[in-house]
Amino acid sequence: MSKRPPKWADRFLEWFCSEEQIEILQGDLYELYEWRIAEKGIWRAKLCYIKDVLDMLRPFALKKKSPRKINHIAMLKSYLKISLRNLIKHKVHTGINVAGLVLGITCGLVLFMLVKYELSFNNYHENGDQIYRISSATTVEGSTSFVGGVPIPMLDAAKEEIVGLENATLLWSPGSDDFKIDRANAEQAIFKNGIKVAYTDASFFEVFTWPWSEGNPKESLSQPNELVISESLADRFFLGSSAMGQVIYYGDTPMTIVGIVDDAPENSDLPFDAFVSIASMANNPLTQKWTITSESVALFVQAAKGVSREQLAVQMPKLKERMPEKLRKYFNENAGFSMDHVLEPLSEYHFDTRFENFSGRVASRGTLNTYAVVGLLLIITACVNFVNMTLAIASKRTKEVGVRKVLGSSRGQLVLRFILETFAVTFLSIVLSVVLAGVVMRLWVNDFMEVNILMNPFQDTALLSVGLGLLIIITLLAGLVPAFTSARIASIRALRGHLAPGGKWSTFRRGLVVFQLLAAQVLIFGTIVVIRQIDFATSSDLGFEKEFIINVGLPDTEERTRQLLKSELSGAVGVESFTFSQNPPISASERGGPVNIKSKTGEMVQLNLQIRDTDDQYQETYQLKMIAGEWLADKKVADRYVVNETFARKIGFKKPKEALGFNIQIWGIAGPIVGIVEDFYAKSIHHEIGPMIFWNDPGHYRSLGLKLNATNVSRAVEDIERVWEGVYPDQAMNFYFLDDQIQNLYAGEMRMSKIMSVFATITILVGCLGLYGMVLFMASQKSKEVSVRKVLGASAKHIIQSFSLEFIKLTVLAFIIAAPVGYYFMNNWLRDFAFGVDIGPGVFMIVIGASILITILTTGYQSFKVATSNPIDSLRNE
Amino acid sequence: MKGTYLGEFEEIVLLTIGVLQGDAYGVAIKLEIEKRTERKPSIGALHSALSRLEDKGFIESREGGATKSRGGRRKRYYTITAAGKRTLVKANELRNELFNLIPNLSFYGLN
Repeated sequence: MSKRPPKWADRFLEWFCSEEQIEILQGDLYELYEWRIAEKGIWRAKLCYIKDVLDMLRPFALKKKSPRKINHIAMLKSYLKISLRNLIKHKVHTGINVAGLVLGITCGLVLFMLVKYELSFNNYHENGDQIYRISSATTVEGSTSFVGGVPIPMLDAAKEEIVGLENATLLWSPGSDDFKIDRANAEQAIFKNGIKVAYTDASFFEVFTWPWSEGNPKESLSQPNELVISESLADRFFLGSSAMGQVIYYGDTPMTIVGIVDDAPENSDLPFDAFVSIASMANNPLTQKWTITSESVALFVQAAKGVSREQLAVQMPKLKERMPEKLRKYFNENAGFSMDHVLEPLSEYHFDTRFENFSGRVASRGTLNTYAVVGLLLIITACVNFVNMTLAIASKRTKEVGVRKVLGSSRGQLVLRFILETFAVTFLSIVLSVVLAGVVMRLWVNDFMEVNILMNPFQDTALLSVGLGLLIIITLLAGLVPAFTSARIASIRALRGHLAPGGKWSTFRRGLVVFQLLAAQVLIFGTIVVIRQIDFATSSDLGFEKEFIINVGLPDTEERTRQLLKSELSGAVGVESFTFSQNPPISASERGGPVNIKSKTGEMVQLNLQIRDTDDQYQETYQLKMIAGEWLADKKVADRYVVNETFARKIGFKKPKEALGFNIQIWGIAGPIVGIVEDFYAKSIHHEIGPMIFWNDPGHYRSLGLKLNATNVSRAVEDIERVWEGVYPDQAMNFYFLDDQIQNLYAGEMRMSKIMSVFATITILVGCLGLYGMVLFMASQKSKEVSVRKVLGASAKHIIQSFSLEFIKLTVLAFIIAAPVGYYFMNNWLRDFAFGVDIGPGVFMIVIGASILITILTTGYQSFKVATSNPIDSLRNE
Repeated sequence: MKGTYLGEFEEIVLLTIGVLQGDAYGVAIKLEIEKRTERKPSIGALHSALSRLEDKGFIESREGGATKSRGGRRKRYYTITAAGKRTLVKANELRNELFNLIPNLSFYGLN
């Protein structure tokens, strides 16, 4: 048994007791302890000792805070001054630092706002979580096609069949007509395009949140010829005077205005300006037809409170049963066909790319995710850059830390100073980024993305919290590490000029640079694949002519006007040939559907058929390639067919040519196959090429296609316009060039490729900044080493090599990770296309080649400077 | 400086320092008080009082030699200052004065 007093009690005493007192107090305690051992034995003595130590916890004995008072204000002033001087002294570093951070955060914020905007769609309806859309899915031979609409009679079926509904409403927007207003003492005012009109009834305003400024939503839109318009439309029509009760013409029908509603918000997928009572359409046969399913109709149901999605979804098959006997029989007899109905919550309405919506803006979740990932990558890269550079600068300032320590700074103060400095730089950068993002948004992004986003951090709490979050995270990341590593270093080492963060942190910094390179490489990879795919889509041989072809939409399908156009156009200059048809070869809109056809062997096969109604000039105008037979003649009825290769194969002819003369029957119309054309892309390359037939059906000729002479396009267009005015004096001519139209099919991808290239460039730039900063740091850190090497005989070439090699190693390391990541993501993306490009070794070569080149370019100058510097300069002072 | 009020325990400590005559350090004072008053002040309480007395200027201290039993730590010896002496005298006088003012009668009555 040791005779010494309990060690821990002693240590405790030393911990809390002030230095002035400890000597005396401990002495007294020891003396008492000895005396007690003699008097009462060791156990009692020890116990008493502990008791006495605890009893010492009195104010007089405790450690005092520094007895001197420090003038904190003066200290802070000094910090500020030194910080500023430092920022100015390391101009290049500071510049790179701030530029990188601002660049990254600006882009990150823009992407954040974009994603937030898309996510905000339709989120303002009070009953939003109870509203569902019912849409249609038609399945033929296992492949399903989706249409956002339903037959109009489905509204009543849904109301009667589905249990658990609070309400149901139907919108029908078959395209808009002109509005005409009789003005007193003036000509009739006509308002043409751009007004979005929907037929509906009062239930629409019960289901959706849509404030009325005038009129009674409960009693409106029940009678025929009632009209509700938005406030801005009312202003446009009546120039400020009251619109309520006025009668205006929609097309040629007089309508009474029974209500004024607020304008649809920016983030609405139902951006209608006017609502006409659906009762006005009571005589339209479409309202009774079960066979027409169109995107222009939307059926929304509102579930009663507490009724779940599943409870409604299981009732969807009931809707089929309401179809007329004949249709049901048709579906029952053809097991391969089915018509189902899909229930989808309003929250998915904006994001389901299988369907269209009324805003014409469907944001795929995949694209939004891509934006989010790219934005996150950018912000992370920028932060990494910032942390890296701050670390590099901080390690150059160890001497300052040493001096401050010698002069009495505590570690806490030093840490505080580093953090304050980082905070100030970060704060300024973020403010700058928000401003810059606002400008970029207003100048470019809003136009480019067809959005209208304003950046106001004072009203937008999400934006504000993102800004604050970034501020805190970046400050902590970039401030804490250098703060603690630098502040911890012993003053003597610091004064000698040892660089603070040793091996451990330089590995850390290397890791950061590798990450940056990795992000840049993944983005380069993605951009190359997207650009290649789009290039492939727009420039590949589609199987028909697309240059110098314009398409004109026809307002009617009458034989008389067609003949008139024909005779007028025959003489037009620059028109090589022209054709009347329903659609050009490639078209987003479809005609056709499931049919049963007797095949070569006599069996019935089911085909999801596409139909093109064309006249005799179609093949010549669009330069379709015939494999066998001849094109259709100019006939008024469909009695013979031209088919594509796929069709011939599907009905059992291994060699498509042999199908010539085979008799087929489609929708009751029988006739021989007189010609076979080579397959061509009838939709975007997202889709496979399907079976297709061509026949004469003048009743569907809605499109006039003209092949122009390449040398005289503008003259030809003028001529066509003149002809048009002769035939349709009061109709505007809508025309487009086919190749533009084809580009439009890829609008989403084009947009994505542009965004990807912009952001990839920025990520590369930020990555370069990071590299440059690192090489700057290395150059100054290794200047002595390089000088010694030079003195010992190393050539400049050796030194540049060893420098570059270091960075090329990092680049290759990043590539090893980036290649599979990029491949995985882009392969996924390409799955959306039926015809996708291969990601060949070429792409990988470009990525690694480009990144090595960028690395060498970025680091080259500094390495060169170090390698050619005079060794004396850095060796002179020790 | 704190006020010059002299607490009861402080007075005893001060008197004990006087009694010990230049040999007054922590443990010695404690033992002396224990011997004479039958109270057992803890060493913490004693040092607390000593520190207060020093603050008030009634005692002063000097550091003295270390002994083995103290683990090589020095002692701090306390002596009464002039101000301390004055205060002690004053307190004593005040007490006597007040004591003398009590009529004998009351004493008898109390007994």
